[in-house]
Amino acid sequence: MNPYIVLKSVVTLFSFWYCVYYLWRDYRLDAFREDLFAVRDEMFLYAANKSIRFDDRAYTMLRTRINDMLRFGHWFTMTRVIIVLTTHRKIDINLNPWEEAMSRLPLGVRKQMEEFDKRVRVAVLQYLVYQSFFRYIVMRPLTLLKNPFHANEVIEEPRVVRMVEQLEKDALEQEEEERRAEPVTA
Amino acid sequence: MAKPPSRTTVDNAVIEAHLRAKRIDSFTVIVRDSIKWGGLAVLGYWMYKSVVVLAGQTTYADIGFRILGNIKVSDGILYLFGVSGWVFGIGQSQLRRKNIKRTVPAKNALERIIDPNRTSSNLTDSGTTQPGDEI
Repeated sequence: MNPYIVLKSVVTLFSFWYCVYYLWRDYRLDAFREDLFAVRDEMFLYAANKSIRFDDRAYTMLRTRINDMLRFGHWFTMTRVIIVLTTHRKIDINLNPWEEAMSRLPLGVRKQMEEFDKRVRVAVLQYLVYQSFFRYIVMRPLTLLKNPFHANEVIEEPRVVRMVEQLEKDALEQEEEERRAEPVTA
Repeated sequence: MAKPPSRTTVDNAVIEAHLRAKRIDSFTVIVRDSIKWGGLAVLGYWMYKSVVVLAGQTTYADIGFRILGNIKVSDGILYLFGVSGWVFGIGQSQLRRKNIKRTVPAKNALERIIDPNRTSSNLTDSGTTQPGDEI
């Protein structure tokens, strides 16, 4: 084969490799963070309008979750979600604190907070699916169809996303504690 | 009546599941990285082979000129399109980071006046992952 053609192909393929493994991932992470920042900002304005207190349990819980996902979003991958869902099938995640906090809110406020929560879940799901360039190429056209993979049902099911978030958070907190416990070396 | 599982049993089950997940995750990371770096290694090998074929026959300048000389106008337009896409994308991304760095601190300071206990995402000033959180 003509070595010049091989060289040209290698350079082009390397560009594509870099795009798929670095630029695309950075872009999807930025898009995910942008979605979360948008929800967080709207929630802040909602609280600033005195619709909900800044120290309300539901507000602080959702804000903390958003902050954790902003910080550690790069850890979320589709493979990890599948692994966690299969290995933690029998473990019951306690959703009571969130539900309790929500139940104390007036109906209108609760509905709005649920809307914020739903948008966070949509952002997580979208990020997980579109994170891979090849998955994006396959899935994006399908989103033009109505409810292609019963995505709404998945989004409506808080266990799926929250379980992953909770477990990621637990693992990260544990690692942070371990890091803090390590003796500081010069 | 059946006895509910004790706290320790539940904790052990959680730790057990965490460990199982971690083990499988480590394996998938190895597979994923093998595909990623293996692909790069194959590209490097092809590059090496084509350079070996050309070795002694031509200079680097010749290789460059021959590659450029062999490009058809239609291909050239496609390359130009690809490269300009790169430049545009990277430029936009950098511009956005600069914009975040410039505008966000003021917004955060204002928010802190309204909510003194405001919590943060702990990202960098330009909205990227903290170096310590990357791995």
